[in-house]
Amino acid sequence: MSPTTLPRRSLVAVLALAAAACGEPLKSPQLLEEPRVIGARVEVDGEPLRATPAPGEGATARLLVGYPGAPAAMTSALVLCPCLPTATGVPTCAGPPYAVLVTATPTPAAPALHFTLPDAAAMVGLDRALLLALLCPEGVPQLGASLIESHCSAAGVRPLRASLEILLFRDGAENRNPDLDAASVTLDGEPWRPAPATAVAGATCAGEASLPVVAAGSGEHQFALALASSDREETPSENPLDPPREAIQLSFLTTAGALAHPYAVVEAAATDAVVEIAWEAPAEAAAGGEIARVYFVARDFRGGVGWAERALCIAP
Amino acid sequence: MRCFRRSHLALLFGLAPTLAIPARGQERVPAEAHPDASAAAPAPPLPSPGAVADSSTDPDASPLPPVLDEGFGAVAAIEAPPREVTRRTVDAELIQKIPGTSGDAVRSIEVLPGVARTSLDAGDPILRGAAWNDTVTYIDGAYVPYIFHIGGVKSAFNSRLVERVELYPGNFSARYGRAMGGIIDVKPRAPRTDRPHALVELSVLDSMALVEAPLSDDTAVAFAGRRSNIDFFFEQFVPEDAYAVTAAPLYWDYQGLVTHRLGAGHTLRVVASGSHDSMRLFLSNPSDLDPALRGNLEFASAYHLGLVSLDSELSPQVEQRLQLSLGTFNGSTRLGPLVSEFDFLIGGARAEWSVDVSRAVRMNLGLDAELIQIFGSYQGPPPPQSEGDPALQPLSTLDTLRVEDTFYLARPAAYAEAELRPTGRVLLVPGVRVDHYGELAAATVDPRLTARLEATGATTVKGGAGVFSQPPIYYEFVEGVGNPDLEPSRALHTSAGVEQRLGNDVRVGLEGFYKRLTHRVVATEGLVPPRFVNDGVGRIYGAELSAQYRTERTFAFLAYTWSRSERRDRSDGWRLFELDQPHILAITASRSLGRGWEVGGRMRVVSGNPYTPIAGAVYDAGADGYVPFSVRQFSARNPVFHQLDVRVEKAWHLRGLELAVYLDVMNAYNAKNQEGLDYSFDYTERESYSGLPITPNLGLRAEL
Repeated sequence: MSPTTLPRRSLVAVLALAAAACGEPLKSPQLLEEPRVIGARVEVDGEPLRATPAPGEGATARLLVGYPGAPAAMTSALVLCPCLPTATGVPTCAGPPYAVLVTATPTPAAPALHFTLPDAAAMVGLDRALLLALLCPEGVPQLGASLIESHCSAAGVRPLRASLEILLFRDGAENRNPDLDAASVTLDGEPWRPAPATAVAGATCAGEASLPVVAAGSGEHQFALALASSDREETPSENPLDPPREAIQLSFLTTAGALAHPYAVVEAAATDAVVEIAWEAPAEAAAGGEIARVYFVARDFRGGVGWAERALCIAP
Repeated sequence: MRCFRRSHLALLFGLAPTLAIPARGQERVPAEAHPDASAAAPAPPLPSPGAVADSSTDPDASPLPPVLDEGFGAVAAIEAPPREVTRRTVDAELIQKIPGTSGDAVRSIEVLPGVARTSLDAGDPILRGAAWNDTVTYIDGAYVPYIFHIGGVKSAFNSRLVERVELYPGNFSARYGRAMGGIIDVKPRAPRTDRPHALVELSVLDSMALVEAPLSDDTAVAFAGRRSNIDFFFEQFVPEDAYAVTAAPLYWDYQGLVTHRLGAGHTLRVVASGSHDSMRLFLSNPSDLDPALRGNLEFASAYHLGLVSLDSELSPQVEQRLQLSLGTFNGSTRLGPLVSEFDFLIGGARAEWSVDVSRAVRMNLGLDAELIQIFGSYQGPPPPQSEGDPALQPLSTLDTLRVEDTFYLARPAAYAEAELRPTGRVLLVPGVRVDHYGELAAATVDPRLTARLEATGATTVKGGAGVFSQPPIYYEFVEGVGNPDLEPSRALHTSAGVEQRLGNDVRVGLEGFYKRLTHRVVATEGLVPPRFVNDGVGRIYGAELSAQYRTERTFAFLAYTWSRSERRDRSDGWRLFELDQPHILAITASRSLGRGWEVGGRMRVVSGNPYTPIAGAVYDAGADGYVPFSVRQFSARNPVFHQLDVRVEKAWHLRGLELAVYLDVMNAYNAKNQEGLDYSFDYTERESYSGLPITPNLGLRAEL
């Protein structure tokens, strides 16, 4: 028995991770080089900012998929089921699914699943549901007994697998999605409006006059995002060690250029909810300019997720 | 009376005479009782100093010859057969000469068979395929919470104050318990009594000073202090903008030894020891690989231990050892969402009485108690299973517990052993140990048996079997974190072997072993409450070959271990132990060339450690991290590990002053041994990482 071994092993992990942060990462999480699921959220019917559906309520689960270029057509399968309690590992269903949606025809539309939870009597003892998603760049989803055992029908295709634990609304305890639509986003201090759907990453800037323009090779620029005060909800708890307020984790992703780091956290005790991040413009851009998309995804560590998308034109 | 310990043999054969403190079980005979030593029973050849002893039995040690008091306090002693099947020791002189260990006493056990290779700070030593927490480390019989400083290169007890390290890889005596793996007992030496001595040693790794002196004919003291040097140059190796070093890795330790003879047959010894390790980094932005790692990343641990021992000869037939220890241990960690702080107060008491009932029977009766108070504050993911968890999942994807509690552990134990000599060449040691674990409201009864047969004057056949029990790790049974209804884990050890002496200079040993583990503490599926259960089992088997060659100027060891260590968690199938190493070969040699020159080398070839290959990963949209999954745990293996360590020393002797310069090079040919795999954030790319590169440690030593 050594009381130090858990922290000492953790220390080794720290040094290893710190060392990894020192050198060149294998892949950069903030650069979208291939399609990836980068977010998922639940919107209760009639209250899209509420992330916690109650038994018997209807809601929609949406995925946010980031693409390095134009959205790719993919097939998908979404499953909503009771969540088997687990503290580690890939989450799995505790029973038959409440809802399943298989989209066998490739589509670039973001996958979404509307569902209605069973009533309270059928959900006794459950405090969360589970959303499982399987996206196939080729072929169609083949659902197995678990997400791990599910594959794409096309040989050699690596599926995109994603999960989201959905807390249920019980005893008046609800959770809201961070509302990044209400957040203030700036580029180099200037207001930066939401990206139009027509501003496709990698496409030329022609026809997208509303986009802010930065010059290729122009060095570092500043993105800033100011969260609304309502985004960090109070979290009353019987455990005095629990923090009284949410922390918000922000993820940053881009299709071009280099972000200084992929994450920032607004801690529970923070009084300032403005997050700034540096972005370095690419050295070159194609003639006609190149559109870059930037994603901001906020998470409250309790299943609440919100996101905002911006786009800019990189001029040659 | 029989002798049960190696009593200062290293000091007898090469260093200054010491206090004439006979080892327990030895009868002191004044020189005048044997005016003509040659007329006494012929003394068998004594082991050379600095030897690696492999529990060999001196064939002429039955009955035990008396200790000859040769005056000036020097004592010749014959070591009696051990109470264990296997006891291996590395003593003071040898410790300083083993290449690649920087003269560290506990690291030196890596030359012995049955000791696995561990990578950077992977935990306590691994003995015969046992998990890190199945082996307990003691300082002279008193439990210590950890033995290595940060990085695992140096142990926390100054090796210059170590007489020997005793290693029991299994089937150990009933005097030790609460462990189902092995025992490592670091034995402090007695302060030298001839005159005052001082030693200063400076090296790349650390700097130390030591002073010792006799205060009277009956009292001697020694004090030592050491501090690492890594912090002076650590920041030179930190890439710019990676992280800020708030406090570079630092360790220091101190020891104090006092030996006092209270009167004829009574010796008091006091040992004080303390250690401190700390490091603090600051990540201004979350790590690219795990957003939970951000802000302050801190680690600090310290212990302070006081130990008082009284050895007494109550009568010619009865010996007694009493020991009290008291220590504190503090550990704190901040690692993203993981924040822990623990304070331990550890009290220990030991008493042992050895009674010569007859010429053929000796009884050893003992008490061994631990009382521990633990205050803990923990915020972080549920602690994983102590062994067998590949630990691949980012912290950001794990749930968070928050617990604060104070609790007590009361662990009394009693044991009895009989040493039976039905004939002069047979020794049987049946024993039993009873442990009570107050925190579990459980008791265990562990019977043990050791047998030795001196088949010829140079050949000993040995064997043994026994049951060994072990309590869970404290966090495994604490309410709110673990399961208060856990039971002690158990192991059945069996082993048999032969020891052969070939002339005066060569010893060879061959031993096979089999261990069966039951009631192992394993995590529940998904770490859901109660989080830990006693559903694990294990099986370990293998064989060890050792060969030792020793002359006045040369020593050479060969240690080869073949073994298989497997576990089964819950109802899963069998899997490999996370540090299963089927083949461990270590060849160590050192030679004094004359004129103060000494050279040595150690070559190790070891099977690569198992690892769990990643088959894919699932994106956790709530945490923005990927949770990997695998097909089969520990189903792949790193390539074979091979490393050469070399050591060169040049010493000058100048009128009572010894000066030495040494260079100890770990991984002399800079082998790139894969220790594991690094993965990209989504586990779609990977690359291997290696262990320590060529690592020289240059040092200067001055000794008065």
